[in-house]
Amino acid sequence: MAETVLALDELTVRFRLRRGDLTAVDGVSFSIERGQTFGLVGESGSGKSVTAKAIMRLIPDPPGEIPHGRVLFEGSNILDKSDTEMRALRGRRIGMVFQEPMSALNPVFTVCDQISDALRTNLGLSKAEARERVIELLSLVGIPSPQKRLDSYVHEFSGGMRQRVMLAMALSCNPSFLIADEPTTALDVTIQATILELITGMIERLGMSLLFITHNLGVVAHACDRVGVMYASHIVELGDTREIFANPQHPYTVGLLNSIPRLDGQAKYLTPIAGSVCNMMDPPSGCKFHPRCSHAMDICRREIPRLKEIAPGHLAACHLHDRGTA
Amino acid sequence: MLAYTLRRIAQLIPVLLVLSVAVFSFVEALPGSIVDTLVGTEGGDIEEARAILTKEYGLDRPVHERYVLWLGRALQFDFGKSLVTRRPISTELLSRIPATVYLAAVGIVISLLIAVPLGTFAAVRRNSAVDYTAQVTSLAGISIPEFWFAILCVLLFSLYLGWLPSSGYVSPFEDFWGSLQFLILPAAAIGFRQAAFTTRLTRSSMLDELSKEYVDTARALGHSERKVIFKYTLRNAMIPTITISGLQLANLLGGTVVLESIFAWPGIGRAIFEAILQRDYPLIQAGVLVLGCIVVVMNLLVDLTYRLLNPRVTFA
Repeated sequence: MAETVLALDELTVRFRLRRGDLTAVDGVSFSIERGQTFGLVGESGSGKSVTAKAIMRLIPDPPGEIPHGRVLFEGSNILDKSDTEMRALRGRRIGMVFQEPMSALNPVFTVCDQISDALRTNLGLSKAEARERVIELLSLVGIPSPQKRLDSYVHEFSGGMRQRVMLAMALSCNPSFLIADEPTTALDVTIQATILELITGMIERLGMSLLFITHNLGVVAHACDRVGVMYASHIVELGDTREIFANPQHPYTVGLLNSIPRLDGQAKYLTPIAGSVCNMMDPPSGCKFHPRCSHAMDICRREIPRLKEIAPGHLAACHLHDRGTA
Repeated sequence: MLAYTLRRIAQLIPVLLVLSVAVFSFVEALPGSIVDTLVGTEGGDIEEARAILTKEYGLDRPVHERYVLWLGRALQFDFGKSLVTRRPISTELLSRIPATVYLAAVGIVISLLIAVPLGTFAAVRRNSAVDYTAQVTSLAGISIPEFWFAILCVLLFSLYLGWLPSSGYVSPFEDFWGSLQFLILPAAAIGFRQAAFTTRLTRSSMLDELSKEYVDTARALGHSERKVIFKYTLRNAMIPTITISGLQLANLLGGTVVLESIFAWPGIGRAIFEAILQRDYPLIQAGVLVLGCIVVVMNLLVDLTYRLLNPRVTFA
């Protein structure tokens, strides 16, 4: 069996807000093996970005806290590390690509300044060496004539180019693990595919592992080996991408797949999931999905379903499987 | 950049022309004339004296001619002589400018030394004791009149404690260390007052910047929290603070009339204040014109500095 790079074990993230407590991530467990690409899918507010930030320990405290759970990176719990140990991990071992490159890159420093500062801090390169490496990185991510673009500011780049810069920055200190938090969402559709291919290509080339966060199932099908589907702070289904697309077990996953517009002209209308995402300040009892679920039973209102293996490597959290009726 | 600067300088010309017309015509509009003021002090035949003085000051010519004449001389920094001291106004003003610049510049430096660390700290430790203290103090600083605060400072440090002289001025070019003891009180009074505004500004823009994603990006790259805040975030948060400080400096260079009077500081503000009391019209004219020029040029400098801080500003 392949080596596990990252394993989340019952990770729970809670925010203590003035209006009350909000559990954004509730008992989330999954693991990613070396060289694997894991997709975390869900609607806005399902807790997928908070999960990513918790892995990087970027949850502000207060108001955020992690009451229980572990984040095992290469075997050791990230949540137990000191700030200094954590800093050694960030950038050098785990890289992160954010959703909106315009706001995720610093507007008043040149691209070279920002990337070379990381290189000098983490790898101890000299100023000249760092500059050489930045040129190398920029051409690696496909920025034309990097020598000329080196000293530009972020606002002087186009959206797609900015995301390339962001990627070059995340990869600058040779991390073995990359977190990409909706890296294509803020981009034009025409550029999305290019950036997606760039990221997956780089991962493969550098032998890295990837946690890919998105709300776009098409992207997952294209890029990921395994998928976790998140709904209202829980993972509701987990498994190999092929298996999940071919044989979805949770009504939410089924709904998501049905709501993808079809191009073969069979349906005139979109098939959305009825209702809307629950209010996380006041979530429904039992299974968070039951108010929108057409199969909802009494037990769904009372008990939170646990993730259960229904086929080898394929897990779902739904009471329908308790009775063996999928 | 150069083209932009030149264009901005060219734009100053009409502004300054309008200013000169305003300054000239406001003295022109005052009832009576310089001659009336002067005649009383001259002996002999009053009518003859009037005629001589009118001719000497060129008042027999029409207004527009006199304006052009006055402006022509003003461009060569020749404003005639003071009616009171009989000394050339240009030397009078030139001797006052260093004192004002000295006070204003040190005052702003003090205010930045207070505002930037305090505002940053208050934002980073939001809702802490430091934050509340900073906020209450700066609210008090905005509310308390400057002159009252200055007088209290004089009472405490000069009269009760006897640490510092209550007023006076020594040129820093003659005796730098000696000049400092006279400078401390007025400069601190200015510094605290201006810091009251900029501390709040720095705090709120720092809070604003800290919530932006690039802060997390810097953290995710393994930078220390100190570097994330003082290098990456502060640089962004300083943009509004520096802009406002520049405008504050322009204002202060325009003379801190009240403070200069309290501390007997021989600055340009006090020179104009005294000239008004003594109806020294040519000096008022020249003083206001020079102040106007200083403010306008300072504004230009603030605009140009802005580009250095904020690369997103383009000179279109």
